[in-house]
Amino acid sequence: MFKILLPISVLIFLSCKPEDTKPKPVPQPEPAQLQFSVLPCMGSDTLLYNTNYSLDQGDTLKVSKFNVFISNIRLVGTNATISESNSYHLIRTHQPNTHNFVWTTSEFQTYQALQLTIGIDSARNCSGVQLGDLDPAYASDMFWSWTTGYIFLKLEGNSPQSKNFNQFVEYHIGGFSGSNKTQKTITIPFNSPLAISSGTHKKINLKLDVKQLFNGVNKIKISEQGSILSIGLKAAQFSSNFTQLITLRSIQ
Amino acid sequence: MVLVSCSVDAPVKNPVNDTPFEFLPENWPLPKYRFTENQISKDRFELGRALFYETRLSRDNSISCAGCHIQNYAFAQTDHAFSHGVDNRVGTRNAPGLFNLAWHTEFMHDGAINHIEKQPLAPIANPIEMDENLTRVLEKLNALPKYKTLTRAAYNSDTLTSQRMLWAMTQFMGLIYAQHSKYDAVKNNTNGIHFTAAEQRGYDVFIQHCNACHREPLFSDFEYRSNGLAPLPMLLDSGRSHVTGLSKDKWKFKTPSLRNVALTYPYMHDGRFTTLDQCIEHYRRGNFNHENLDPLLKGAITLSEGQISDLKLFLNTLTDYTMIYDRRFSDPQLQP
Repeated sequence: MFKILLPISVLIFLSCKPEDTKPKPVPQPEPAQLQFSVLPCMGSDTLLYNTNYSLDQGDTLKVSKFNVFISNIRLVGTNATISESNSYHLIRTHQPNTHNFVWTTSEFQTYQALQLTIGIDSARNCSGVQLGDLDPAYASDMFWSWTTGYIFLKLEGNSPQSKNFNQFVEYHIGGFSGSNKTQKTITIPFNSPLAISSGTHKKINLKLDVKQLFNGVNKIKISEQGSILSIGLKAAQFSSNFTQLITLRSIQ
Repeated sequence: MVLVSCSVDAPVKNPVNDTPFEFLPENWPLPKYRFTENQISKDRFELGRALFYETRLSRDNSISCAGCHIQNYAFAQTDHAFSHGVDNRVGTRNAPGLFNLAWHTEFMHDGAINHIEKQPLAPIANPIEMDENLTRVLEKLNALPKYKTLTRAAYNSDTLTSQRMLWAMTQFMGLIYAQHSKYDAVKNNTNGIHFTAAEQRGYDVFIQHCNACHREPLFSDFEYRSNGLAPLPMLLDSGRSHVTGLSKDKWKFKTPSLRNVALTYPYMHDGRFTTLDQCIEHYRRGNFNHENLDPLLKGAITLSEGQISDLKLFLNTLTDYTMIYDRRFSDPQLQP
């Protein structure tokens, strides 16, 4: 017969009676607030929809949708690395309220770099129904229902160079394991160390640059690859361009 | 403070009579889905049951899960190679029976879905099945007093969210057990129930020729294999490679469980065979499609007519009549 061990918990309380001294008022540390602000861009311009932009390879692109998941945000210090809890953020470039989020922390240290992942870790792709930005109802356009897994990045638009119907450009990039893995963790060093102490309020301004998707390790020509809509080699190659997708503009 | 805990996962309870999983027959492995976060309660199970029979999951409110997964046929659909969705659209794969799903880690014939809680999202969104989106489903259901009541009972809140909905559906689907067949009674030495001589001979044939893939006690190894079926030209369904993108996975499909196999005709991922005889004949004839053919099928399986007859009698002992007549799994709107 199949057996299950019952939980056995042993609690031992060791009580230390405090010395009878007058309590001194100790100022309570106030959590630090890090406000992240993502600015969608096309090269040096702020990204506008339905506007023609010239890409560096000579292609022309008009964007009609650009969504990306960034996740697992960390601050890397010499002594410690801290992670934002439940760190999953779906940036929908057409919804400004998704460009900003606040991380509250009481881990007071000095940090040298910001680390984040474009995409979502394998564990969350393989677990049950999630909440927040990973809720399959909220993220319905960023979730493949015919197979399991989130779409990490979705770029849609038009280009005269596209050979697709109606000159569509469609990149739906995902795939989270093995050779199909497309999530990329990037480290962005700070120009000068970021000191976080009680009550610190910092605004971390990030740039999300569509152009970098075409200009990375793999040069993407729209005429050759106007759409990627499933996991596999093409998506994995495309994702190697994620490394410069997000850069640091400033810290205020 | 020192905390010493020797607990493994807490026992999983059956929703209705609070029977823990301990009633599992001997030799059954532990279920893969343990309801750890999604804690079992009768109210959640009942919400899931209502949702399973809810046609509002589909775009035109015409099709429920139960439309293609019918309890009388072990939650498969008989007589249909392919089930039909909204607007009379016809699918491309045979609807499998639903039982013992807590032992699966991947779902669909190609394993495209990697978690039981996410499984319902696929038929809801599929244009040839329910063709609906989750946000609209939730809007429709939240507008009904019935779901306010059910959701309040299950979650102490009036609002059905995607997680609440999918957790409840997982409780219903994940608690349909096929484990009361004659085969199980024989294995458990229940009330002196024995195989007949022919069933026993059929069992011996099964062990020799079938059990390597359709492995006891779940009657599947849950692996992806090509059993040598030539792909239908109209579909060219590549199976597992559709998910992995790997050519070595072409034509492979998940080994289906043979529990309730007498009820779940037609057979194979594309429903091409109507009878068990045709299935067995496929393996006996051995005229296999050789690309990625499973190594265990390098030659035809030699079986006499008598052995086939015995094997079919054995396969009939895998039918769980308790499960298919269990009112707890039937349409709540049809209850007396």
